[in-house]
Amino acid sequence: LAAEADRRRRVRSTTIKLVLFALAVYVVFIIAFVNQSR
Amino acid sequence: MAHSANDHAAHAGHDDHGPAKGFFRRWVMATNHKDIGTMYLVFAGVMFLVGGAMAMVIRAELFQPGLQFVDPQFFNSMTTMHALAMIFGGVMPAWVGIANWMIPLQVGAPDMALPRLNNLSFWILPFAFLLLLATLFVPGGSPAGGWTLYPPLVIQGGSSFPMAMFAVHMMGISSILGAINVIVTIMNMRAPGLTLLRMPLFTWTWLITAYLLILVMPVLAGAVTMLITDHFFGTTFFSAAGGGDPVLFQHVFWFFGHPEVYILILPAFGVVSEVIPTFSRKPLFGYESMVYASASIGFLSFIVWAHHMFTVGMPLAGQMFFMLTTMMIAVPTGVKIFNWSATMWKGSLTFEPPMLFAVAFLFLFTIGGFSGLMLAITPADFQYHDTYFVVAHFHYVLVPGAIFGIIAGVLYWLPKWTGHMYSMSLARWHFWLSAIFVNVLFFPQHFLGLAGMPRRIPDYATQFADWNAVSSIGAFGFGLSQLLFVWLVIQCVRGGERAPAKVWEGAHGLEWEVPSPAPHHTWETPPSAAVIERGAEH
Repeated sequence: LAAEADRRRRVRSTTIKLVLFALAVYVVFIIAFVNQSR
Repeated sequence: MAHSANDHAAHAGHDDHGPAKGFFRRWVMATNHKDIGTMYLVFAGVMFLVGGAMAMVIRAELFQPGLQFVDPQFFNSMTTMHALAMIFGGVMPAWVGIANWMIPLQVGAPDMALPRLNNLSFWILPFAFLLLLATLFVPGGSPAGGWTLYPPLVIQGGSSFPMAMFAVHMMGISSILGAINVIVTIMNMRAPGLTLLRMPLFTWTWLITAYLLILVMPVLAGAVTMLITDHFFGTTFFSAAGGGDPVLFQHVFWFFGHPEVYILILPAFGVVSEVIPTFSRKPLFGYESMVYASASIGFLSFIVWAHHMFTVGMPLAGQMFFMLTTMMIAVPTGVKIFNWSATMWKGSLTFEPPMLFAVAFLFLFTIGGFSGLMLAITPADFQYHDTYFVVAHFHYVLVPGAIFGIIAGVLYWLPKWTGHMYSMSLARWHFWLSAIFVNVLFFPQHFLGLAGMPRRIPDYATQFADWNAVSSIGAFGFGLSQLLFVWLVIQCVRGGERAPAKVWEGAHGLEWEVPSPAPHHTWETPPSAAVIERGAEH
């Protein structure tokens, strides 16, 4: 059970990191362009 | 081997339950990786037929000089939609389908790590493509500015513009969610003892592919969002009139677009790395170098994008940089080609259908690689750019490259999925017809391009007539040959000789430790160390 809980925690943590990364690339990218084209 | 498969079946009998009853619960609400994999593969098959039909329209129009069947606007729509359907609807979903089926089986996991997300990422796709294909029926027709969506042309599109942009956004979201699922599964769900460097190459190449996806899909999404704001909200990111720069879009698009090429081909490298050792009855030569070569190709794919746009007028230093980095990709790719050849060297070779496609891949993908090297030479590219030589190059990479890889993978694992063997003679007929016609179709396009025929035109000068006619004959032959494959798969799903757990004598890997067809639930108890040891003999 402890191993399963640990695995679920790792799955959740990796998922959140990847989702945040994808969002960050999307947002930062657009912000960079907004600045560039001012 | 059989002992292990029986153990698995006996274990599964206790607490296993079959698929949910009813179409809605089984397929619409699907969370099982095998069901979702099957849906991805069926969807990809349908999109291959749709995209293939568009290719037939293109080649029928180009059979002779002059305008024969369609008006130029519709012709341009066909080239654009053919590319979008084949890349985003055919090749990518086919690889995700095979990944869904095989990654949990290969890493000893009971399912993908995020089954409901898996369901979502699949079900976004049919809606995205319904929206995209619906543009064929709106005033002004579907997008016709090429799959690269370059402004200002794309922004001048009619009613189809917002539909196509939303569809591309949805495809991107689907791919990102799928990639997250693959990474999370491989990083967290591997059976204890199955270290990264013991994973099968197909899983490895998919891990690298998933990282590429998650890095570049948000970039495409950002570019598409900016196209939308340029069109509807008065921004001028890509409009020179407002201080923006259309060439900037090309840089952004190809920062996505070049890694996308490797997203399409890396899983094929994985399949070939599984098939060749199996039918050579030898471990893969240079397993670790294969992993590092794949990772190097993934890294290099991010620093070569501007070779697609040498002719926009970039500084000499930029031309040199992108030429040299592009050529560097030949090094890890060469490592792979030599490793596959060395695996076959002195092997106990047999040529079952998956091996035939893998060997054809080796030769024909290499032709695409070499023409890529020719295009990488900046001054030469000034001549080749936007000619049929480029069309020949990327179709050699994508058809006998990516698509032959998909076919090899399907023929390799189909008995595991269905529990039946398919007709070997039908598969051999399909192979030989495909291998001959694909060359009749695409090889003459090299000559056309070198002679100066531009791409994306419905009509051409008469000196190009002969090779265009040959190419179109190849296209019709190749298209019809694929119907044999559809029939082969349908036959295999419906019945046939029972497939054993280990379908191919020389195969290694955890997927061959479970019965055929693979039960609805597998590896609910992780495989033992001994089973992993046996499976990891690369």
